Amino acid sequence: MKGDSVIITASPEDIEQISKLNNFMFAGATLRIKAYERGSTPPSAGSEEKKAVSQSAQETKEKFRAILATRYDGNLKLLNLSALAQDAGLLEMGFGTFDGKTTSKLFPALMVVADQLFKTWQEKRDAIVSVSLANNGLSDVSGVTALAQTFPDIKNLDLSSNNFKDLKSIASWRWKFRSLETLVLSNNPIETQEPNFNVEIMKWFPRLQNLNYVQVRTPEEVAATLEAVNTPIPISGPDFRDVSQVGENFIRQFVALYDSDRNALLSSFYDAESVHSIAINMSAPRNREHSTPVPGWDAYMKHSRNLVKLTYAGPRLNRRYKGIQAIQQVWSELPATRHPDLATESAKYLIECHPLPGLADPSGQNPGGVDGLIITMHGEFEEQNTSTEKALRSFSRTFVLGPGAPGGSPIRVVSDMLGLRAWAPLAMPSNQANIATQAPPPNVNIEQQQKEAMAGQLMEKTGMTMEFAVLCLEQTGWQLPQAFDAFQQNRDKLPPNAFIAGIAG
Amino acid sequence: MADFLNIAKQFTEFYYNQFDLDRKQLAPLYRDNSMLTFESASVAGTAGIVEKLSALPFEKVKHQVSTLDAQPSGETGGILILVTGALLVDEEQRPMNYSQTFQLLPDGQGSYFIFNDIFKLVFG
Repeated sequence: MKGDSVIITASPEDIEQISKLNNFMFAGATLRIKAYERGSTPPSAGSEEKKAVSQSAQETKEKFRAILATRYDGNLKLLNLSALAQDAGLLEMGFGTFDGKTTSKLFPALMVVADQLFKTWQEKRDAIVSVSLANNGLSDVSGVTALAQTFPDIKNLDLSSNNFKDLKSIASWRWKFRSLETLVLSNNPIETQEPNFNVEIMKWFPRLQNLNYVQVRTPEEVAATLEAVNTPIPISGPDFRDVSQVGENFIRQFVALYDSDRNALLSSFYDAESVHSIAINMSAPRNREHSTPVPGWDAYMKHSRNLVKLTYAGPRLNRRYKGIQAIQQVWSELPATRHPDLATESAKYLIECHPLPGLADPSGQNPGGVDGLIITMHGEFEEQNTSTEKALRSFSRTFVLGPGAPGGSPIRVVSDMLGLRAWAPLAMPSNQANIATQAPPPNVNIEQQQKEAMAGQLMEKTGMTMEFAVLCLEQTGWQLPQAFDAFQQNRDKLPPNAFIAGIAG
Repeated sequence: MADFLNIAKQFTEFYYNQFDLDRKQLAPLYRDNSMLTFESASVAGTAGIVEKLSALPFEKVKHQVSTLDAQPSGETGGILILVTGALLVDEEQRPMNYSQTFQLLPDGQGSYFIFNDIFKLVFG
């Protein structure tokens, strides 16, 4: 304090909000609030106007605090901001006519003052679990959106008896309040104007259990669905469609040999036509929780062939390594690695495998090309070159495998593209939580389950009904690739009822 | 020789611009023997692929390509492309990392189509 001026330090956002109270009339004086840059000279204490002004600011703050105090219920941990228009304290301060404009000025300032009551984030989270904004005549959340910044962790929110007409009016809170368990929207026009609003609202708030006094999810269901809505796009487990375990066997040997004996790996699966390239992604976003320092990329940089950055034709071509010798040279320069064990740490991998027709035939016998596999593999490895620190990296690697040339190994790597980025754990499949909470059904028939899974995949790929998918699989000896081929060959001959309605076409 | 690199670059630029602008208009890039594997769900054929893309649970989307690598592939002059990047959807503040592998094949009329498209969100 300097004389009657009060100088507070605030973040730029807060300054913006507090400044909105500038020129408000109260107690017969006009409030003046001004932002000063750090380091600039604050107003001198001698200025008469400033004296009154800043005293007013402090008084306003005190009044807000008093109002907040009367509206806080420590037992319920509830901050009750309902019916602000009828608040005697606010009326006295001059917030007489309550409309959207008043709210959008008053509310953010109120939130700033509320925020300053707490020293730590945790203290705030512990003290205020529930907030009510009922009876405020709100037609959308734009004026009160500061609530989501100030109290993002509240569990219960009462928006009842306002004027919310549709989902759009609250849509800007769609990705906020990630801990919300209870939401009350009763006595709003949305109930009648958008009768299915509850379906959408449940999607918006993954932990929501109670909507308009009705239980919409059990805590168990919340746990199960949490992963599913963790990202806007549900994350699925791997889609591994192998042919005679070729893909699986390759990956097993690749992981083991890349760590222990890269030359043996090269002579087993690579040949003069194999192509390898590496691209480093240095701008991969990471979750705050995983912001461990990223070890330097020096060892990789001179091999990185990121076409977004690399514009010269020379390096673009030079950094495409073709043939065993060229690849061997690169691999000998890359740090030694240790990949997680495929069997015991399978959660650290995500590997997909699909048949891929039309590859060059090394024997030259099939002008139309031969069938191979495309494998995409995502995971992590630890570098072994630094003895003191553990250096983890994440990678995505795409392989194209094809039949080997006569006299060579039966399987050859046609393409091997490695993408590297700073380490972060793999995204977990959304259905993992479901699987974990479901007790295994008694008398599990594994063969039956596999058949059902295959039928499901074929249905998904073809749009056929379960009945026809099973028929098709039975006729091809339960081999998915063959069944899919058979489907493509006979597609036109299938009756309309072979397809799930709406997909055929 | 460097041509496939330029094609790969032009293709990915076009693909993501179109995807972010209006993904329903991606149909011309696929054929009836194309296969899309989006988050492990596979769909074959242009109609199914466009339907799948259109039905994805977001409206606004923005791809940021961080790395792009390409190799010639296949007997018929195909191109294999590996893209890694970040994806922002709707109001979500946190970008998601994705990896996308394309296999392009020439369509016989001087252009290319997507034969294989494998999309995966890779880590959170």
